Parts: sequence; C-alpha cells; structure tokens
Amino acid sequence: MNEILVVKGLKKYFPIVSSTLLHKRVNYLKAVDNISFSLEKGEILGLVGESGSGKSTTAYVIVGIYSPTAGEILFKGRNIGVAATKRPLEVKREIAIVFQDPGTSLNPQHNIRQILSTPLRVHKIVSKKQLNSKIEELLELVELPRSYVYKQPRAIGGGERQMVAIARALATNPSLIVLDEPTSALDVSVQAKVINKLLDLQKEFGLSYLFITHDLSLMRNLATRIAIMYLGKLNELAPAADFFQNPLHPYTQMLISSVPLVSKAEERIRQKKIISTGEIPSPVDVPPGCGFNTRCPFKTEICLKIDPEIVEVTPGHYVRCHLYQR
Amino acid sequence: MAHNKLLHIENLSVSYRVYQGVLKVLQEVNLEVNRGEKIALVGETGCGKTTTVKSILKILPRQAIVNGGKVIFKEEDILRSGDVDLNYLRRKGVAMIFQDPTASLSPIFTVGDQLATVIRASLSENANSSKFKKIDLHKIALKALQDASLPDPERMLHSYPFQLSGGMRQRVCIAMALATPRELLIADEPTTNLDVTIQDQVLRLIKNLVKDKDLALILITHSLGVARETADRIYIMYAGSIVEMAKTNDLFKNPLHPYSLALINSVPKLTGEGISKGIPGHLPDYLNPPLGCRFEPRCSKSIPICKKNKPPMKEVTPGHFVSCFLYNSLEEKNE
Repeated sequence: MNEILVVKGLKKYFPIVSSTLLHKRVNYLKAVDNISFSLEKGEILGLVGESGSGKSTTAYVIVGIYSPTAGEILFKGRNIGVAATKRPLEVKREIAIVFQDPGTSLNPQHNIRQILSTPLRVHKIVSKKQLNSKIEELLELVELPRSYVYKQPRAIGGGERQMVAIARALATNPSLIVLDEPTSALDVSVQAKVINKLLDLQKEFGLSYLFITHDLSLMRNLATRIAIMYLGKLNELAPAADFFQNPLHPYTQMLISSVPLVSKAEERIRQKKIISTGEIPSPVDVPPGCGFNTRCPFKTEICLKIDPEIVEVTPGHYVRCHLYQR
Repeated sequence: MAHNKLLHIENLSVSYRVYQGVLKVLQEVNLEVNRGEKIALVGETGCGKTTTVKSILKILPRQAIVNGGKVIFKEEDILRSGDVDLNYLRRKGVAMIFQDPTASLSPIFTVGDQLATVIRASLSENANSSKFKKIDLHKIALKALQDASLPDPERMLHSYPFQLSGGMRQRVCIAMALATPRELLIADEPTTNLDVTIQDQVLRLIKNLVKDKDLALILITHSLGVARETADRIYIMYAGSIVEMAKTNDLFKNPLHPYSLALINSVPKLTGEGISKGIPGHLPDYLNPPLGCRFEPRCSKSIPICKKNKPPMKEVTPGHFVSCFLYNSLEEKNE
C-alpha cells in the first residue's frame, strides 16, 4: 500500500437557491460529481481541464477549504472527508497548497518573514529561538537571497513571489502538495525555473504532487499520470506517455489537437486532428447523458441518454466513453 | 515591394514618465507589415509589445513620451498627423482586438447597440452623422456576428456582454473590429484568457477572416506556439527592442539570437524532453537600462562589446534579421 491519497466517489455540490414570493427552488451546481482516483507516494498526478471543469474545486476539497458533499478522501488510510474545521491539525500540516496567483495569495501587508512564520507558528514547527534560522533555511530551499526577509510581496517579481508561496507550503514539512496552476500567471522562461525547482524539491523530500493545470505540454514533461476532467467528472486517466501516444476519449483528442506547438517533432505526435467545436456547457444545467455529447464528433444515440461508466481499457488506462464500453 | 507596404514603423522610441524618472521602454523599434501579411510580435510580459501597437493607433497613455521615430501607415506619418487623419485611421484603417473582452465591452449596452455605434462611426463620413437607417445597421451587425460564427446572432444582438461566455465575448469583439472594411487588424493577446480548445477556435476564426477580407494582421502574443500556427513572419521582442525577425519556419528551424533560442527551449514540448533551465536573471530596469545590448546581463554568450554598444539589426541569411554581435551580416560575409 503505497497510496498516500485515495479519493472515492467524491462529490461537491453547491446549492443555487432561486426564490420567488411563494416558491423556493434549489438547484445544484455539480462542481465535482463522483470522481475517484488515487495518488501514490512520490508521484505527480496531473489534473487537467478547462475552466469550469471542477479541477480547482477538487483541490480545495482535498485541502479542506470546502467539505465534500459525499464520498471519501483517505489520506494515509485515514478518512479526512469531514468539514474543514473538524480536520485534525496534524492532517492540515501534511497537506499544503500553492495557489495560482501569488499576487493575491500572499498578504500584501506582510513581509516575507511574517508570511513564512505564520505556518511555523501555527503548527509549532520550531521554537521561537530557531525561527530566524528556519526562515533562512526555507528561503535557501527556493534559492531566494536572505535579504528578502523584510521585503514585501509587491517589491519582488512574479516568479519570486511564487517561490515564496512554495516556501510557505514547504514550511510545515508536508507530504502532499496541491499545486493549483502554479505557473499559469508566469512567463515561460520564469515558468521553467519554478518547475525545475518544484521537481528538485519533490526528489529531495519525496513529496507527492497533485498538479492542476490546463497546459498539456507542461504536463507531458512533469506528470507520471494524467487525469482529464470535464464538467465535474473524470473523462480519462492514464500514465503520461500512454496518454499522449494513445489518447482514447474524444475530448482528450480534441484537447491535444488544440495545443499550439513549436516544432515539427511535436506535430508528429498529434496526428489525429479533431477540430475543436462548441463550448463547455454551464455546470448548472448539464446535458443529459454524456456531458461531452454537445461537442463530440463521434456521438451516437446512447450518448444522449446514458452517462457512461469509467472503465479500464488497458492496464492503468481508464476512460469514460461509450466507444470503449464492453 | 515598396508599394506593397501597408505599415512601417521606423526607429520608434517611447518612454514613460514616472515618479522616479523616465522609463526608457521602446528603443528604436523597426517593424514592417505588407498588405495581406500576417505577422506576430512575440515577447514576455513587460517587453513593450502593447506599447508598440498602441503607438500605431496613437492611444498611448498620457505619461508616454514619443522620443523619436515614425509610424507610417499608407505613406502618412501617424505621429505627425492631425485629428482628422487620425480619426480616419481609426474609423477606416486599423481595427484592434484587446486582450480582455470583458473589459473592452460595456456592460450596460447590448451587443447590438455597441456594434451599431461602431458601424455608424466607421461608415459615415464624419463621426456625428446619423443618416443611417436602423434596418441597414441591423443588417450589417447581423452579418458581422454571423462572420464571427456566433450561434444565434439574432438573439445575440439583444443580449448583454455578461450573458455570454468568455469565448463568445471575444468573438463579439472580433465581429466589432471587422464589421466594416478595414486594412489592418491588430490583435493584442486575443486568446490569453481563453481555454485551449476555445483558443484554437478563436485563432482559426481570426485566420479565416483575415484571409477572406484580405487584411493584414499584427498578432501580439507571448506564446510561441500561437505565433507559429498563425503568422507568416515573426518579430521577437526583448526589453523594448526587436532582437530577431524571420519567416516563421526559418525562426523555428534556426533561431539565432540567444534570447530567441532560450525562449524556444523554455517552452514545454509535447515530445516530453523535460523542462529546460529557463533564463537566469530578470528584465532590466527601464529606469537605467544597460547601455549596450539589453539582453547582455542574462546572456550566456556575451562578449565585451555587448556591454558597450547596442547591436545593429543585421541580415544574416536572406530575410532573417538578428540584432546580435555574434553574427555577421550578408555584406560582412562577402568581404
């Protein structure tokens, strides 16, 4: 049993109340609808999807920002799928998160010392005397100069700010870090630096990453396994190499065809071209049957009526599509 | 070729006045667009891409100072032309699509109203004339929305921007830009806020419209992939100067400038070759930019002369220009 995180049938619904004078109607926005996956120790699982697909909600439920509507989250064999406030401090220490935009996830009124000392204080990682040396150690980990201790987030560059956010996540010696699009606000040359640092840290501390992104090319170079989300459900889950060489779900094929490429060698990989059409429907009113049926070029009668189950097509390669049902 | 030239930017330098002094952003930028040609201007955040195109329409913010240079659109220098000519340019010559469609559409008017305003201003001889019949405006607006392949254009005319998705809003902006005949379309990061599948659709739409209407296109982007799949010719920009210019294929086959090379290597590839190291250091401070080549502090191949002089633009192979001391121009090679 090497699994650090197991998610079983996770659901997160947000109620939308529309009331008139006499009637009160409650609809549900199914942000995450019955997804299951697992994350092994030392693994990088990529969670990919468009905006509105529920990937960030999944991350927030795992970290404990939202409590799940239904389903289990097992962290090291222990169910943590309870309301966030009831989660033991010990578990909160073990799971950290890095948000997308370091401009808004770091308190602009605090300097970097204050930002880094908060988790150290809350989780009583070090004594007061050792606080300074621990903060220096953290800055060193992300290769920021010591002189940054009294700087404020706005005084440093975007890439460096994200490095501070990473140092803050590392402060509590976590074993799982959820990275919610950590580089999508950065330029490619800075992104490369941040990603390299993340990979080094992962090797050094044996961390597991749940890496959320919409950038498939980035995933190809990072993840051990990739999961695709669409309208709150998992559409495909496969090991990285298999995922790109043999994408099965029509949506995955459409996504890969849409990635802008920079070399001929890459074009050879994406030979099947599915032209992208349509848009992701609103998660409040999901079409009946398979959620992708509004955009799918291969849709048949059954897709309009019945939502397919996720099946294992080849070992480790799961897909949720009627084309592959047995 | 000379009569084919639609837009020509010559040695344009632009600075911004700020509290601490003067930010010397654009440094002698040269750029050319021929009729019916698609070019891309690629560079990272803060390198002056938007400043360059804003000076084409003369919509720079008040703090900006144009230090020198010319922007010639159809043999007329925009920077020295009066209000009448400028009005003409904005109404008939150049259309622009901005990065954030939410911010460039007004939330309190319907899509139809906003389209009608643009069409009325663009087609009339002076901006205040109101001789257009409602029915004509309606017809043109409907046609524009259909061209932008928006579903159900009749309903779209009566909806407000916030009722549409991000991709549709950007399509409305495209429809607005191209509702009336133009000669040059400037698209400033039109797909940055969109998802990949929608990005693909919007880029395809822009490409098709540019081809059908026989327009020239300046596409500003920070994504090399987007530039490669859209443009015929690419300008790479770094810290306010153009560092390399080549036909798209030449640039990706044989990037010359150390910055272009590092940038291409930084892009994660689908082939899974791993992640490159990135580029060390950061953009120079525009208050006191380096005297010589602006990339010198981050360049791994820098030589002493790079610190002192700004490298001139040299034609290294036919049609492939680079601004770097490491390369010899065609004439220098012949000697």
